[in-house]
Amino acid sequence: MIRVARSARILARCTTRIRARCSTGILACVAFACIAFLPSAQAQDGAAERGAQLYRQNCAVPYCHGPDGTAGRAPRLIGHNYSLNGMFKVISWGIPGTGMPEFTSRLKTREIDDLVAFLMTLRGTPAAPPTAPAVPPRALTADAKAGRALFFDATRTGACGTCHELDGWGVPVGPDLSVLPAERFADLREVMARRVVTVRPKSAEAPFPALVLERTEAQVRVYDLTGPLPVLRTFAASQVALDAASSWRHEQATRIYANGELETIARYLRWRNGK
Amino acid sequence: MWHRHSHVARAFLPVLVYLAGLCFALTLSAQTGASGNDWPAYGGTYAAWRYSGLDQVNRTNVQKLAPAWVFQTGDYENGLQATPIVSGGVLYLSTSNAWVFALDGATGRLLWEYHFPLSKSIPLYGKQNRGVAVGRGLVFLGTADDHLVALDQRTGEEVWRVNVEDSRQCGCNITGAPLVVKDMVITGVTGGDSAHRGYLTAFDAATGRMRWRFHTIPAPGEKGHETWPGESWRYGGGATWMTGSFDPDLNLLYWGVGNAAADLNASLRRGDNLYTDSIIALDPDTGKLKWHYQEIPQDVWDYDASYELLLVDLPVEGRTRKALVHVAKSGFTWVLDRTTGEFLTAWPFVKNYNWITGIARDGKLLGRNEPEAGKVKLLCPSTIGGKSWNQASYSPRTGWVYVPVLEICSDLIVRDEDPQEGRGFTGGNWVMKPPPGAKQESYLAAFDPVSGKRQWSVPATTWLLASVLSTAGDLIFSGDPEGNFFVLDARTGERLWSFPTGAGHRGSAIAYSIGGRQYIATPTGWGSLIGQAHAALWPGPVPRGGSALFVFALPEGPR
Ligand code: HEC
Repeated sequence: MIRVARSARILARCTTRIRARCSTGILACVAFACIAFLPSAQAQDGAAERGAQLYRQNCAVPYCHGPDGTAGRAPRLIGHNYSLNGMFKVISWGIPGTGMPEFTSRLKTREIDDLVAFLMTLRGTPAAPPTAPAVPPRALTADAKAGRALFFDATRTGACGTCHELDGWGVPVGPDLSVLPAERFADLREVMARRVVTVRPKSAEAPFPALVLERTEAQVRVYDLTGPLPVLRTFAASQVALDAASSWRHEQATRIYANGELETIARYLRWRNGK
Repeated sequence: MWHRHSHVARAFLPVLVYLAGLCFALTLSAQTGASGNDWPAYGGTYAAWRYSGLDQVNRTNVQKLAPAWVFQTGDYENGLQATPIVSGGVLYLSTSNAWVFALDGATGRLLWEYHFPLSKSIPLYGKQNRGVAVGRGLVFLGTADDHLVALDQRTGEEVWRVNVEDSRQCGCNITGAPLVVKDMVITGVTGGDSAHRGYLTAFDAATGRMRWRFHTIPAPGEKGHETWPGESWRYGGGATWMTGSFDPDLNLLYWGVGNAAADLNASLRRGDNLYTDSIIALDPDTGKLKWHYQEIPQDVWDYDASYELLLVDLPVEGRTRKALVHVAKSGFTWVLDRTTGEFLTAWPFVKNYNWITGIARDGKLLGRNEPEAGKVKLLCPSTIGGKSWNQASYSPRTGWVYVPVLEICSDLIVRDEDPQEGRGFTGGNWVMKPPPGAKQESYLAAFDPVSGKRQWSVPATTWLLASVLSTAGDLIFSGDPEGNFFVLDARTGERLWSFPTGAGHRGSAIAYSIGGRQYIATPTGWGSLIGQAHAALWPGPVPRGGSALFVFALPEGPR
């Protein structure tokens, strides 16, 4: 145990040093950098390094704690709060009734020591989750929840989330709805499409409605809004002409919803944007 | 002079590209299954045999095989799993981080490269890329954050991209190679071990607009929906993560559908769970289901039916049948009539299986042995499969299929789990174990595709997670985790040649020919979720990572 504690200390130092470098706070970077730094830091004792190897073999697969402790279906290990003894116990005996298996039959005690030494290097202040939270900070009311479910409804191709990003889900094609005043969601059937243009390819292709993303002397990048999934298309500027007028209506994109459903979504958006 | 030359070349380029496209179409429509000078599709051709008709390299001269060129991708994350595509003598290669390279197939000279700006949130299926598709003047790439991208085949410039679904929401992504069919490009998605409902999507190749989407789990009101109680259909898996096959004569698109979710626990989905663990045949023009064959109703072993579908005409009980051969994760090979979906036969290719006792003559599973809550059960084959996704090969010269077999089992632990959209939804856990009372092993074996009779088998030092290539030179190519790229005699299994490439093999070798010279290309570089399990299963050194393409040929000059 003394051996473990010492190497954990060395690693903690290493972590601090690298955390200073990786100012972005990407902890995966910390973890990996630490592994890379290890040989010089602990020439006398490779416990955590061996532990890192054992971790990759036993804990990162399949889908469990993730290659760098960040994810999978089992809990994140980066920033965990286990004590040395607690970690040893959990790894040895597993957590009955959960997916966490026991490792006494698979690993030698010495190996579990090494694994613990490595895992203690990941201990510490919980890091921000790798992706933005999928749910707004305020607890959803039942009605808002229903609206949100419709907004991101995976069972219909072309849900609002196909073109609008909101609270960490969705694709940011159309405008950011999170910053709009709640009044803007009075009636979703009357959303105006002022920015949508008509792209006229100089090839044989028929004109199509699109949202311009980028327009330089050399190229034009637009979101083609013809189908239910917007397509980001790149043209040489000489290949297309843009026409400010368009017959595209936002209503075309939201037709997959019944009026009552659109009202539920609107209530959610009004609730979401603070009214 | 040179100037004029290149000018002329440029003027004729569109014509050349057109002709190349025409050749491409022709190569694929002749349903021989053998690839010619190019390697136009993921499985070699639409028939997915991974068999090259080239025989310049053969049993008599294979010992002279030597490296012609090596290409280092520089993307060393997670190894190199791709099948390169060769079209008009240009080789297209993709890597884990969604980089694409176009290389001169004869020299390895870089013609262009493209790096997709991959987002940081990658679903649990991880970053890996099994290859691009090429057709209609475009190169198509699926990405680990669930985009499908089309590049100009000549310049590598991006033409379009579409976010197939937000990977943060669906927890799904694209790791398989797309498939070009007619004027469409078709891609599946992962997601079968998450709370997700699978689908296959076809896009217009030229514009990227969606043509159709086929959900592998029927919605309320659709036929087959009754096999899903309550809300289970919303989260029932049925991923489409590998690449399908196409029969132009029958105009049928075949795709393998993955396991039902939660993988090991059916308590929320009592029923057959259509179309999980099924082979589906679709009309490629409409995306409508023509037939389906479900191999495993209500799967509780995580046995996707996703792997390659070899379209072979086979003699079955005295009659030649247009068959479809599926060497599946469950350790059995299913043989179906590919016109109708009729069950023809099934046979075990692993020695160790205990999830069923066998398969009846009508295809019914016998003696199901399911994981149970509150118990740890050792079930075979493991959740990695009696074979992993790395592909088998069929040689029409021997009439055999060549399979990289895994004899590994897993302890299955069932747990109740509530589905959370896009999050892992396995309903339990698994720990890899050796078979009960038998050796944990892996070998490359040749089988008769109808009788299942094993013709020969060659043991691996550890396991085989690279695909198999067969050629008209009666050679079998594959690679091992120790880094050897090796050749076996297709008839005897005798090891004829091997070359240490220095990194583990997870990719898929191909053969092609330029200017009368045959090349064999193999990706090298260990990686992936399963690859990481190596040291937990096998003694000896851990396979080396890397990401390089090794290309071999016979020495130039008199051969
Ligand atoms: C096919 C893509 C697409 C879909 C699906 C879609 N939208 Fe939009 N949305 C757009 C585009 C593009 C705009 C911007 C139009 C413009 O400004 O010309 C927009 C604009 C809006 C606006 C107006 C924003 C402003 O600045 O006033 C609102 C509100 C809106 N969408 C809500 C929704 C809701 C709610 C849904 C689902 C019911 C939805 N959208 C579905 C593409 C889409």
